[in-house]
Amino acid sequence: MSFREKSAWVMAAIIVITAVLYAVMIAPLPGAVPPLPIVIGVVVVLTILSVLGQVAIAVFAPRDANAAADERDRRVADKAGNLSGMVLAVGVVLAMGTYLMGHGGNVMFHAVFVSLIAAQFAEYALTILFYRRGV
Amino acid sequence: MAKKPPITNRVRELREAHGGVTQAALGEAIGVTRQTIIAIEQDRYSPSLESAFRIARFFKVGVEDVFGWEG
Repeated sequence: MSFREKSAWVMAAIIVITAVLYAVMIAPLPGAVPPLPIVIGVVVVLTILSVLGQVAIAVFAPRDANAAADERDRRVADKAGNLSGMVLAVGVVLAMGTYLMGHGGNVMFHAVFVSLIAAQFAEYALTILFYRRGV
Repeated sequence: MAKKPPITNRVRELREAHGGVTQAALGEAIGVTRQTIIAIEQDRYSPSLESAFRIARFFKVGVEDVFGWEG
């Protein structure tokens, strides 16, 4: 398994952990108001876990970690990034739809945040899929 | 399973015929990772035209001696 595929597995797991953390912390709050400390906290946790995850993989395969992306890596990244961009676009349009239907800015904020998380997860999942099944 | 690309190849066969060149050595010679050579040999990836020529040149054969079309 290449370094980039391992990295995608780790990042997909971290995204899931972050999404669950966000849902658990936001769900009990009344009025769906997105509290700034929670949003910042989730982003900080995501960043720290990402750095730790990447370092952990790099320690076991330092040569692969330092290797530049080759043509297959770039093709996988391009295709996964393109498709995940569509996931984000659909999510943002749906989020705007919630606002237009009168659910307010707070719900739209959560919908956009979830779209970002979903798009990131899609990118890592597609990366794994393309490495495993071909691109 | 993903649809196999129509391009076939004899990379593994040529590696073995050239004294068992390793996937890593071939990858390094043409500028791709060992995993990409594995993917090419398993028909999970069709290399770029440039890499195809580099592989053929590495084995000192023509591109058509390495790659075929099964479309």
